[in-house]
Amino acid sequence: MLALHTRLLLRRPAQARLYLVRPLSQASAAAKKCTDPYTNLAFEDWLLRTSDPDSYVLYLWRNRPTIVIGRNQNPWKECNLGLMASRNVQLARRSSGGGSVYHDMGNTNYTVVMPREAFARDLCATMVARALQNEDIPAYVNERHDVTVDAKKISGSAFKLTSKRAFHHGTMLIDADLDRLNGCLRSRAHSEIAALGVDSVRSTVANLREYSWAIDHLTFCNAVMLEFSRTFGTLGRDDVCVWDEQSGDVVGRVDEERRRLQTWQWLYGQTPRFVHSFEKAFEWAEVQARITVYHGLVAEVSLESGGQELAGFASVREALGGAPYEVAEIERRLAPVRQQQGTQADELCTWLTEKVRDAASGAPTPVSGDSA
Amino acid sequence: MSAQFARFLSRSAKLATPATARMVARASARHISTTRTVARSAASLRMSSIKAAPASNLVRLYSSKSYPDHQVVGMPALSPTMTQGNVGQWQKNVGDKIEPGDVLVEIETDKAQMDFEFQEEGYLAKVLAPTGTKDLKIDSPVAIIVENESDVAAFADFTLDQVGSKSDSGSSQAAEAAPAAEPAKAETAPAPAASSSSSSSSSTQAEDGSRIFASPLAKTLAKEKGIDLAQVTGSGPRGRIIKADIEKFVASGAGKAASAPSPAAAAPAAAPAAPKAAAPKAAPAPAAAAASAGFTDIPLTNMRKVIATRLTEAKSTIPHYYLTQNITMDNVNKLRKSLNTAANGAYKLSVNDFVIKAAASALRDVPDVNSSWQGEFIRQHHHADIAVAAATPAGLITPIVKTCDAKGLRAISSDVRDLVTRARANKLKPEEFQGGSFTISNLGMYGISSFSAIINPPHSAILSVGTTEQRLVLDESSEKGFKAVEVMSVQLSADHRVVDGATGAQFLKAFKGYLENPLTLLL
Repeated sequence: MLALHTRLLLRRPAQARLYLVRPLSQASAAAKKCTDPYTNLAFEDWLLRTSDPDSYVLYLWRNRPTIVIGRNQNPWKECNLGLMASRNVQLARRSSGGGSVYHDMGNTNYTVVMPREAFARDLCATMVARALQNEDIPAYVNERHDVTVDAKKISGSAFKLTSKRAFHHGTMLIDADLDRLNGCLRSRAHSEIAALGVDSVRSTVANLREYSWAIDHLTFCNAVMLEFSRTFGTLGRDDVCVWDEQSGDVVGRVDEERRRLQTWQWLYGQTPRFVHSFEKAFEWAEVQARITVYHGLVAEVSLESGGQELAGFASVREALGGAPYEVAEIERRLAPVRQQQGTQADELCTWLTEKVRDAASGAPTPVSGDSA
Repeated sequence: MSAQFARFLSRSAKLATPATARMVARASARHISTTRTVARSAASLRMSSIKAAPASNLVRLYSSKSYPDHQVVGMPALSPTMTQGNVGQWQKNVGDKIEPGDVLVEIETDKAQMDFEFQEEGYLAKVLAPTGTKDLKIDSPVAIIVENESDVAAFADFTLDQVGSKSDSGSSQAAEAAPAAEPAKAETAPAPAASSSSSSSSSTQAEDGSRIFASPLAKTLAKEKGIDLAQVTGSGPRGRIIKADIEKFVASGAGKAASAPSPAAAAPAAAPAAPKAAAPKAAPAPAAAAASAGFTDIPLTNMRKVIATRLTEAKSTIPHYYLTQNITMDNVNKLRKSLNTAANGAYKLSVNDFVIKAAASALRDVPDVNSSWQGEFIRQHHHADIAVAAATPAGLITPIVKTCDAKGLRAISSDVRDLVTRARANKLKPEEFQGGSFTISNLGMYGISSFSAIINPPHSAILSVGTTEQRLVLDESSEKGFKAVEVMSVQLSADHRVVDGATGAQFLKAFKGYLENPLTLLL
């Protein structure tokens, strides 16, 4: 069993307190909890809101296999929800901007929370690059503020700012499963969905493992901690704390946020408006369909066939209005239409369901795992 | 798309006349820039029904509806380097009350997710940039805020292209209407340029009852300049008036003599500019400047309007009086030179930094001058937040250096530099130029020997600093009987309601003491 840590470092250049949390238990149950993406994200949010306004905090964490999309992204467009469900990869939406990333136990995440005025996009990225250089890995920061080695991206960054504080968090691919990554981040409906909101920018990625035999999660954490203390001030003994998810008080504090992050409303309902267009030539006619989805619910269905209104179009439109954009729901709603309207309508429904399955299939509610 | 069109028609149908032509023409006129295909079909419908409907009750000028006073909120610059942003989730709905500090909408830029906190009170009347809008430039309009809840309903059909053509709007906040009017006009410009004559044309009624065809852009321009379209000859297809015709008309000088009441003139008169400075209106202003032989009329930018109102109010309501003092700057210059040599590039102090520091110390000694008139009481500030008058290409702005009494020269120097740079780039946050308790205005770099500045309400004094000149003064201790000294003349304009003559004199005496003996600043 891998040693799982969730560490938190608070750094005070002049005034702030520091505390760190050290994970103690390596039991499997605790392990799962330690890697719950929702708890970790909730904890990060808690840090942002409650840490001392002048302090610098470093938070190091890992998740079990998860795709994390940016605040304003479209899960149907960015990820292959069906594949994710079959491989037990969870979906999470973070509160910072940017594109989609893949987390698993071979990927370590770092978050630095800092005062708003001190915020600069490259500040922490260069710190991490220096930490890696200390480990003999020639890392540098590229123009998209990503830590790169040899023109391949090893870390993605995103930022969130509030009025007083800001954080920079990033991934670090140490030994992640890149094939799984690619598979999950390729949606079958990608070209068919025209979306508002933020699109991911694809880059070639690589694991640090390709550049160093010695690097692993612990080594990386230590290197970053050292560089953090060099940049923002020395870390004393009491300044480093390790958090075990079993420590009830912390878990309790973030529980509400964690729950919110798991709701359908947050994961899917926060998607900006998008239109899913596709067409097919049946024997009886050519049909072009455009489904407008707003807040994750079907807002409008447009079915055209050379300007004509064919049998079944109207009832399909009616049946689907307001439906959450998931296969199970769509199937359920189309079932009565199939029965009533004859073979044409039946074929139409089958086709629509298939297309929605291409885009929208996946667990309608996230796997809650062992929520505390 | 069909749903949209249906909405257009139903909205138009709410208007008075049942004439199909008017309904459709209105629909097409209003939504010209959004859905050209709809407009085309609308226009073709109109073409066919025009034969049926009589000319007399057809549409009036397109943008004739006037909206209540409102603020156009633009995409804010939430960081100094931000140039554009994506609109995220709206945290407020239309009709919601907004308190200062409430998050209006989330903005994402270059992977950073930020909350846009609105600093004023009001009600959200209209969302112009829905969630998911990508790459919106700074200052592009995103929402409309009104002061009264009752005005919210009036904006139900407000659209982006009406942002620039409104005639009686209030001032805009950190972003302006104008850059949005430009994209809106740019959008409509290709429409007149399109070869098909039936697409996106609208009509207006001339005095003789016959219809005048003009493109929406031309009509907006004409309305702005107060030109009667009946007097303009159209060179577009079927005699349609396009933008170029308006410009030609204006250039020929006939525009200004137009008989129709000029809405452009009404705009400055009606603007009840809120006393919050804003960056200037961009392109339409120069575009609309009517040139004719002998003079050019420059429309007022928002900043100019604000300056005009506030300073008129200050000069007419505040009982100003002026105290002058000459200050020997030799010691300050010596100290400045020695500090700068020791700097090694870490900082560079200017005379102004010493002036600010001396003023802050003097304000600490004479706190009555660090006060403001609040009507029923006088507010005495505990800290010296000094506003420094800075000239920017757009106009005068006074960024504030906070707690100068507690800051050292170096901190003051870097703050001033940072604030003025950002002021020139129009990147100041509202709290950085609103407030403060004292102002310093320095025209020394222009060679002005002395001047009397106008107090910036609600401050109760302003220090006008002139240039430093060499003067000969009598000096018994020197063998020649005189010596040359560097003298700087300052004037204190004070509000007699708050600062009496003796108090003002005490302040100037303290100020002079600090500057002539700069080491006392250490105390």
